[in-house]
Amino acid sequence: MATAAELREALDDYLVRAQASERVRRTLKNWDCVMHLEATDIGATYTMTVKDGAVASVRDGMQGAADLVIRGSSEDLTNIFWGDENPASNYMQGAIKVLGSQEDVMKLDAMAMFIYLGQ
Amino acid sequence: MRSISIDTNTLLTRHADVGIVGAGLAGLMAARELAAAGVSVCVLEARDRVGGRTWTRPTSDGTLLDVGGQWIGPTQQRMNRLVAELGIETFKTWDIGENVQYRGGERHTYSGAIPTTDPLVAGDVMEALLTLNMMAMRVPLETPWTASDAAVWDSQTFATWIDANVSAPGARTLLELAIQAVFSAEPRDLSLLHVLFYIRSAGGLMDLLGVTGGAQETRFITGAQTVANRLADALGDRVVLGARVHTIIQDDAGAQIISDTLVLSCARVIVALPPTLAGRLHYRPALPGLRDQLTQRMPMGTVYKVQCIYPKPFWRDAALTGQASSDTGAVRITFDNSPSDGSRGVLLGFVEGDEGRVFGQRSPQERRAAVLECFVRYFGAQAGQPLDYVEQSWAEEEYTRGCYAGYMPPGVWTMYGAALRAPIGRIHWAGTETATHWNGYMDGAVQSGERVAAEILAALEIHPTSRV
Repeated sequence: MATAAELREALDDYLVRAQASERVRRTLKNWDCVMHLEATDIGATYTMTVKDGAVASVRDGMQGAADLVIRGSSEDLTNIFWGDENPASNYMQGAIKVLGSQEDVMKLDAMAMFIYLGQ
Repeated sequence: MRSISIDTNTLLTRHADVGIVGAGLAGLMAARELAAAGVSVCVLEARDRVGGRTWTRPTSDGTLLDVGGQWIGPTQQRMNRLVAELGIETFKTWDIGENVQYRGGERHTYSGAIPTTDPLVAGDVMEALLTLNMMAMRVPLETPWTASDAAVWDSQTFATWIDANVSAPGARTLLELAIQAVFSAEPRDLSLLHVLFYIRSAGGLMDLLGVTGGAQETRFITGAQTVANRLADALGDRVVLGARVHTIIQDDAGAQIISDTLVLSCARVIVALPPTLAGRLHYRPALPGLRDQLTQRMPMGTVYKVQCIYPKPFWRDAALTGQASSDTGAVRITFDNSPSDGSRGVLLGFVEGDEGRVFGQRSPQERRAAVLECFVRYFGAQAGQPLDYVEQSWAEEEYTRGCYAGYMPPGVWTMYGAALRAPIGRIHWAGTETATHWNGYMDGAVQSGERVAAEILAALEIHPTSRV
């Protein structure tokens, strides 16, 4: 189990790495998306906002209407946002639930892989 | 008006409301739906078995091997529903451990759907997947030729697209392998529009390529042919084996389907064959040019399915899934195809596209040696000592002539797509190649059977509510 503070730290770091990725900004250009994250075991929630292919902000709580809802345990979410776990692994595909349109899900998958790869 | 004379006096004659050519999943599903609506049907099958491209055979020690189509995936709703209705037992494809990749003479293992050994390559692959998925979502499944970029996409091969859009050589190799694995054809053989249609038809590229979560997720304990066998059992003597159809005649009064062993008189005909086989039948009157030329333009893929049986699935002890991909050798894609109880180990390999085309020119001994060389390269020396080796060439099958499906080279969707499902008089077309969802898969065959049955009920003015 991870604490809400640890997960928030991973998300803040994720924002920095996403903004630094030239491939994310190029490939996901014009993508706007509001994501709600729920760490189901500790009841912590966050809102991550993507504007024009760049992660613009991470906030506590579920703010506004979500295009994507991402649910998982605090530990799995922390591992995936720190980049310790391959988001395309069979384990992570089963452990993290993502709800939203097919297009948004595909774009999130790509962003997660680019950042995991350090691309 | 019958313009040819065939001496049918010596043949048995039967009557049915609807005659169906081909007892693969498409033909059998159409028969099942029509029979349930109270329509009399008769299915004529050239082979001495049903199932078409699904075929389950026991090896010398009794291990059941699927030498044809064998997997279903979680989003294949029609197959999942049918399998549940028929009470057929399934199990998950072995997908625990690491995958093997063999590139440039080196073997590596990795976990997950995409090899991440080289981040640049994996990044290029992910970018290509995303781009292709986004393009695919713009292809209308009923009418791919109406996509806003259809003319551009259907004027180039997938190889052209790779050349222009993917720079890392390793990423190109992986995409080429993916295309060979999905179509058993080469990137230069396929229209980009067809690849995009196929991706959309399956839901996404990873739905096509994946094991867990994808099209290779689930297998049948008693083999995939069980589905067709159960459908045929329920239809009883409405399915006639060993009846090779060669001619279909239609006029104002009705239709006749003429086979080697019997003549079937009917009001409507369903041809549930791949387009290229449908084009080898004689039609009186002759088919319109557009429909016949379509059948001249949808070649089947080229694949040998090769399997080695071992005393046990030894690669599992080394924490391997049994899945390998390679840039060299006859077999470039492998899977663990062991029986559900693990009582034997079975490694499955595909020899696809150009490799499949040259493979058939070698002697049986050379083919076996070439397969074992690949399996040893990916899984070690133990792979060189199988109890049995089984190969199945679908191009050699007279009543299939290739697998996994008929595909569209450039220009076919835009100029001939409208002729794919359009009935010609009393003749209706089914088969997985006519499906909008999971085209080329068992699920697509089932969809096509349901679609063609609904088409015929409408033509006969029978409403599904009149079902008993």
